[in-house]
Amino acid sequence: MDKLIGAIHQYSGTSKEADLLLLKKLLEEPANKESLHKMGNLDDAFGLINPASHTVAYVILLDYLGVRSQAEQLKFAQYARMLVAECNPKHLLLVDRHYFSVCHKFASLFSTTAQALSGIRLLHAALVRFQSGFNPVDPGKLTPIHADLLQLCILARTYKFAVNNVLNTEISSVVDYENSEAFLRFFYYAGIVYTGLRNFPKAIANFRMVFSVPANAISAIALEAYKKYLLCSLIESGQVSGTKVAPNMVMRALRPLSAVYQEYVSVYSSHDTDNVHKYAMAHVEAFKKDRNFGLVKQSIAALYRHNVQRQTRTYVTLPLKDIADVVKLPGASAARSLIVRMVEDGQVRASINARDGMVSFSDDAEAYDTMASAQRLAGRIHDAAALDRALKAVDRDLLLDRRYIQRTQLSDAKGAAASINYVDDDDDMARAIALSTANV
Amino acid sequence: MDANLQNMLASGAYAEAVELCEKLELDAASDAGNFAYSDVLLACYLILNDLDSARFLWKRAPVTVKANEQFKGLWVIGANMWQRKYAAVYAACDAFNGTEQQRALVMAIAASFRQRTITLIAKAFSSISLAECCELTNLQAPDVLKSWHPLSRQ
Repeated sequence: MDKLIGAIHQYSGTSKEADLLLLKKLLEEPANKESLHKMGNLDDAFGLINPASHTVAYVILLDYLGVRSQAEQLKFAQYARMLVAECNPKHLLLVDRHYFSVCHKFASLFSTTAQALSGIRLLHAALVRFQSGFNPVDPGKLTPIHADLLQLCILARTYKFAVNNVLNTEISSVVDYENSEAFLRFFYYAGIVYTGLRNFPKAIANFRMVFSVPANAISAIALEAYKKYLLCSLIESGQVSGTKVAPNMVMRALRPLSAVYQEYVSVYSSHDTDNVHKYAMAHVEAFKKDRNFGLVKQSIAALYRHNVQRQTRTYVTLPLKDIADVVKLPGASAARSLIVRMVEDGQVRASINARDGMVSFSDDAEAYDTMASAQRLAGRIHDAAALDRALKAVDRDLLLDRRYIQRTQLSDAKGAAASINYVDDDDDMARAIALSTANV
Repeated sequence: MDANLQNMLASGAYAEAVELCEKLELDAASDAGNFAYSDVLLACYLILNDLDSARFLWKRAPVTVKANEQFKGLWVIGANMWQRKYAAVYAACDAFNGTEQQRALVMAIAASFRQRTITLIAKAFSSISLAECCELTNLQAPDVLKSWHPLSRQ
């Protein structure tokens, strides 16, 4: 035990990467791990090291610390706070898996609704600390800590915090971590946050990510995301689309498992609110078990709105009574309240004449000639150009990747008919060949 | 009360007050302290018509806060706003009982709700009965006509 402490002090003192990796290996050895696990040893160890100068050891020891009893949990939380406040971010990268495990353990300690709020600040600080270790700092790099943080935000009902601090950056890369569950969870939780804020387009995009990523097997996360994806699509536009990008194998497996929802989608496409009501009530247990009944209710309310919107495409003026009949609302006043609500939410442009009980619908009066629309357009063009640049960069990296070149050269050697026609730039090809043959 | 917060409320800077309260709430949670401004935060959300945030604040409030009469009273106003029960909103505002500061906030809620309703009526209706207007805005007939002038439509 003393030997280990000695080793910690010695190797941490040099702060050379090679030494730190050696220390990490030492601490991960099963024999040492066991001796550390023995009661009391870890407490002593924590007393002898500090997070600033012995970051690597501190993280690993914290990962080993048990959290069964209340006292142990309090100690863990306390050490974790010290770690996040004082650690050396560059060294965190060397023990990233242990750090993720520590963060996950921390999140699970606070995962009751009452406690979740207290853990959010620290977990967010832990994430920021980790990100600051990269050079250059990349806030768009997805880590498992993102998923844990979102989970706490959802439990604590601080959706605004989640949007302003976690979901505000576009994810552009993923940290190297073999457990894909954390990443699937991130997009699933992101979808839930946006569903809670009723931003359905973003919710749909995030849920779609979960089941569209290349996969060889489906997961429960993908299944739940798919179910919510179907319901959110119905709420937003009344129909489901965009599942073509998902891998065939995943979709084939998901469809039978979500049969109730598939059927609901086809009943919904009849636009008949009575049928939809009937189906929803017939399967209320199934929906409630998945905790999706709230979304189902929202989709039924949305159906009335979609039906009214369809009326606006055909008619310019309509009596309130007729709208109520066609859309199957209880009466003219219900139709009036609905249309007022839709005008408020910007879903329809209408003008009600209360005296005659008539509604006139008008077309979109937007002329797109204001400063604001010009700026919006410029913003969208800017985003599109940035996306194009990012894609070109990924394409370039792929072209220069050794494994890719070896594969394509192999298929060439086998006398494949197709020439390498996806390389436009001769310089790229020359450089690529030079790289692969230069035994780098 | 926090001096900054006091100033913000006095000057009607409700968005800044919301930001400050949210930060204080997280601070209190992280340090196991007490967040004393749940009612102020809820009132500010209602003034700014941020019903989603108000809803979540209600959901995450600890049991002790939910039992507070004023907090409950504010939530009744919010629930009516969510359900678009126009007359009930003003009734709940009138029925509210609390400290002077809270009553000032509730009056601000009623005022901003009335203003938004007037704008909505102007947008959604080409003609509406005076009686109905009075009900939706909780104003007497002459006041309704007065507030209409600035909104003369083309």
